Order: sequence, then structure tokens, then C-alpha cells
Amino acid sequence: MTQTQYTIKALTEALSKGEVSSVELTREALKAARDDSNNCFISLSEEHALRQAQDADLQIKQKAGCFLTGIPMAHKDIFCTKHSTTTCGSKMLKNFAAPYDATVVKKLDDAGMVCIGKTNMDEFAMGSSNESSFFGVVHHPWDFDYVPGGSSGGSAVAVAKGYVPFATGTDTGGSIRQPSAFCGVTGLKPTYGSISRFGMIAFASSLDQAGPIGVSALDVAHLFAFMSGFDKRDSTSAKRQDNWVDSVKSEGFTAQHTPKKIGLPSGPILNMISYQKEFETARRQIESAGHSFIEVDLPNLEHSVPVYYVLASAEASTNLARYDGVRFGHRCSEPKSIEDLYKRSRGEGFGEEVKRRILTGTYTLSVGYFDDYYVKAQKIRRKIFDDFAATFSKVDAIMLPTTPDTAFKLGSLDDDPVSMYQQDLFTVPASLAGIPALSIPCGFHNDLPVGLQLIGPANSEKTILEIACEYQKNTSWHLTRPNSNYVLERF
Amino acid sequence: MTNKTNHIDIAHLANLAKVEIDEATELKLQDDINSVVKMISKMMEVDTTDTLPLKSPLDSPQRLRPDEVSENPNQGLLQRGAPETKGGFFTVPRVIE
Repeated sequence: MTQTQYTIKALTEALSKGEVSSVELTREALKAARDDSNNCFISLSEEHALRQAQDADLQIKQKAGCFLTGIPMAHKDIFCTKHSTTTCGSKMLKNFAAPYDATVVKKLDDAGMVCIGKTNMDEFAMGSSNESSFFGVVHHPWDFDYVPGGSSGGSAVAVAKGYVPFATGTDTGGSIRQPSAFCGVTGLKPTYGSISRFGMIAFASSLDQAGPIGVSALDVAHLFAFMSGFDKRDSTSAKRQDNWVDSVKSEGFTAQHTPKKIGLPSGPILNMISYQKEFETARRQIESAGHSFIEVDLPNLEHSVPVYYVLASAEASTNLARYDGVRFGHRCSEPKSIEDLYKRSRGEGFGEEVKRRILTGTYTLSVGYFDDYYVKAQKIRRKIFDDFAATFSKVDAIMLPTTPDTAFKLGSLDDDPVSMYQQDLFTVPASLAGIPALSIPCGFHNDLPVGLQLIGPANSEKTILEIACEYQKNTSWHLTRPNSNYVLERF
Repeated sequence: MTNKTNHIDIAHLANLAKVEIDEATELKLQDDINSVVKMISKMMEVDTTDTLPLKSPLDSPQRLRPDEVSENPNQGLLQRGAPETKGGFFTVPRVIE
């Protein structure tokens, strides 16, 4: 009924033994991406990819590569790349050619990875379903009539379909974790500030964070290590105090087993999820691996969604002011005045969801409402931050569902933005607190994948990845793929 | 707070945000933003007396770089995505009559 997908670890071993070349892997990935019917990609970069693959093969031959050298991957089309357009899923940037590479792009290029193309996404990363892209909806890998989640839906599907074993994502309120859960792949939203935002098109700057979407937690640990690091070009980039990332890059990541204390929120919040049985089974499996669970209280969890939508919309309305039809992006034809130029360029260039968020942000920031909404939301953000800090004095990590339910049908929430926003209930708290959160597949409900989330204090990626690696040693949900998949069967 | 949600003037907001919207979109956004504002108004239930706002999870002043030239940007490259340029300038419709 299902097939399994191979990890970067397996492909790296095959590359180093000479069983396959990067050029061969890249040609196969490009062919699969060309034949894709799920609409994962906005653009493909065939010549660029093959050039990178040839360079990678040389590096591997000279034994100068690293864990990631020669592996085909894709970038979410929110990362600026010199070699192709960067659209952010918007008509506004349909033809935008960035003059520089994002730091994340440069770091993965330097590691010898091969970028085959740019993945589809919700416009300006605003969405939980990948239906707001100017380039069309992305279809779920297991059921074509369902959404893949968003906003990094193209990246999650490209990994779930086996076109590439890794794609970059960005997560403002769940945009890596929610599509990862919906599609049955592993996605990490790292600690705020740990991966550079330079060259990553801004949505909500106090929340935006890049991260990897991959097959396994082991792969994701390596990807995180190569993507992260202080960047003077990003004023919110933070320096890590430990040398864990450097050791993963030089020696690789081996998950150590040390019993962890894991918190589960008390109260009715977990009764809200449709896949309680699968979630509880996963909890027991983690417990039987030697970890212990205790109930914890996160009293402001339920306020996270309103707080998030005030802050993210406010930040979006200011960040997106730069799209004025003057320096780059869409410009309306024959503007009669500067006012006409701004209004029509933005009216034509932005889609409905983006306009909704800009106007919501404009409203909450306007005179008379600023304190009621924006400052109030920032104060509750502090409470959420403090709730997590108090909880992490008692536990090493917190386990939550990633989403309230499985993927939903395409178009089913089109007319109900509030219900769409409620999809983010379990993902926005970690975003507001700026702490790392990892989504891993934990089974199937109604024949669709579901995920659980491991959340830790700032800079505790190692801890949550170790718990996940151990869980994935004992389960195979992360390797389970639909029959129709493209897979690298020879390994 | 609930009274405020009855007076959301979408055309005024669109003008402030410099986004042209047609009548059909205005009607749809009116309903949508009303329901979003109703949802976010639930925050008022939370007691935030004596709580300081948190602007960023880093919760520290933003790092500033030294005021010195660190890069040599290529003007042509930076302007290649501009809708309209003339003699190295970005051009817009006449602003001063």
C-alpha cells in the first residue's frame, strides 16, 4: 500500500561509496519535479542545478564534501536567489530578480547542496492552506482534493512526494510545522534569531524564522546545523552560547539517550484534536522509551491566536509598505499621479488574503486602537513567554499536537478566515515565544497524516531532536509515502 | 470594544494602506475583518495589569552596526528589477505641478 522514502543519510552514503553521482540524483529529481502534478514548484533551475551537481561530484571525489554535498533540494520561493526569480507566491513579485542570495541560500550552496528550483507557497507566506498563491493551489500528496497546509506547502509536498529529501521553509506562526504535519514529513521551526533572515522576504519580522523540512529528525538536525549561525547582515541574528551546531557540522549528529521530562498541557485543550488516539499512542511510545510525562499549565495558550493575528498583521502592514510600484515589483499601467501609482500597483499586485492582513494591521495600528489591540497583544505575548519560561523550569520539553485536525478539503475554509486562523492554535505559541518547535509524523487519521510537536526552551534544538530521533527509530511514519510517489527505488 | 467593530470603515483603511479595492472586495473584506476583529477582541478578557509589552522574543535592544561602508552595491544590478528608471533614477509620475 505504501512505499518508503530515503533520507539524506542514505543518499550521502550512496554518494560517498560511488553508487550514484550527484548529477544522476539531480537529473532524477528534476525529471520528477517536471512531471509533478501537485503544483509544488514555481520555477525550476535545471542548468544551475546540473552545474552545482557537477561541482558536488568533484568535491565528493576529492573527499572534500560534507553530509549535505551533492544532495538535491529546493528553496521556498521566499528566499532571494540570484540565479532565478523570487516571487514570494505573489503577482507583486512575479518577475522579481533578486540582486543577491539570501544567507540561507549561500550557506547551503557552500555545503555543496544542489538547488533544483523554488517551491510554491501562500502569497507572502500568509496562509495555512497554500490556496493564496498567485501561482495556484498546491495539492496534498496523499489526496489531491485536500490542502497540503501552508505557507510552506510546496516545500512539504516536494519532500513528501520524494522529489527532494529536503526543502527550506519559513515559519511565522506555523508555516513549517503545519504543512509538515499535514503531509507526513519532519519540520523544524528553530529558535528565533538562530537562522539568518537576510534575503528572506519579510512578513512579520519579530516572528519570521527559517527552518528545514526533511524526511527524518536526524536529517533535520544536520540541516539545521548547516543553515544556522550568526549573521551580521541580520540585526536580529543571535549568537549561540554552545558549540553543538559546530560539532554536528564537523562530526555529525548522534542522538544520545538521556531520559527527559516532558510536559503535557492540562485542561480541555487536548480534547479539541480529532486524532486523540494517534496522539496518545505516540505519547506512550515516547514514554516507553524511558521519558516521563507530567501535566503542565499554559494558561494563556488559548489567547495565542488572537495575539498572533494582531501582531503578525500589524508587522505585515508595515513590512509590505515597501511594495509601492517604484523600486521593484508590479507597477500599474499609466499611473496618473503618485497616489494612483501606489494604490493601483498595490491593489493589482496583492491578493485577497494579503489585503485582508494589511487592512487588519492598518486597523489595529491606527489612532485610538493602537493601545487596545497592538500594545495589549504585546502584553499577552509577554505572559505567554513567561508561561513557557516557568514551565521549562520543570520540564525539558513540551509535547503538543501540531494541528487540531488532519488536512482539510481544498476550498472548504475559503469564506471563513477565522476558522482558517484557528488552524494555528498549537503552532503560534512557540512562534510568539521565539522558542524551537519540531513537528514529526505520528500516524494517520482518516487516511491522512497527522503530527505531534516537541517544543523546547530557546536553543534546545538538540533536546527535541534527540527525543524525535529516538521516536523515529521505533516508528516508520516519517518514511511512509503514498503509492503514487516518485521514490529513489534503487537504494 | 465590541462597539468599535461596528464602525470599521474599509474604504478609509484601504486609503491609509494605499491599496485600491473594488466594491465587491470591499464588501467581502468588511465581513471578514469584522469577524477577525471580533476574534481578536477576546484578548480583552486577559488581565494585563503591570505586564510589560514584549516586542521581540530576543527582548533586548536591537543590535546596531557601525556606521561605515561595508559593501559596494552595483547600482545597475539593484535597479534591474525597477519598473521604470531614467539616468540611474527611479521615476514616478510628476509630484509637483
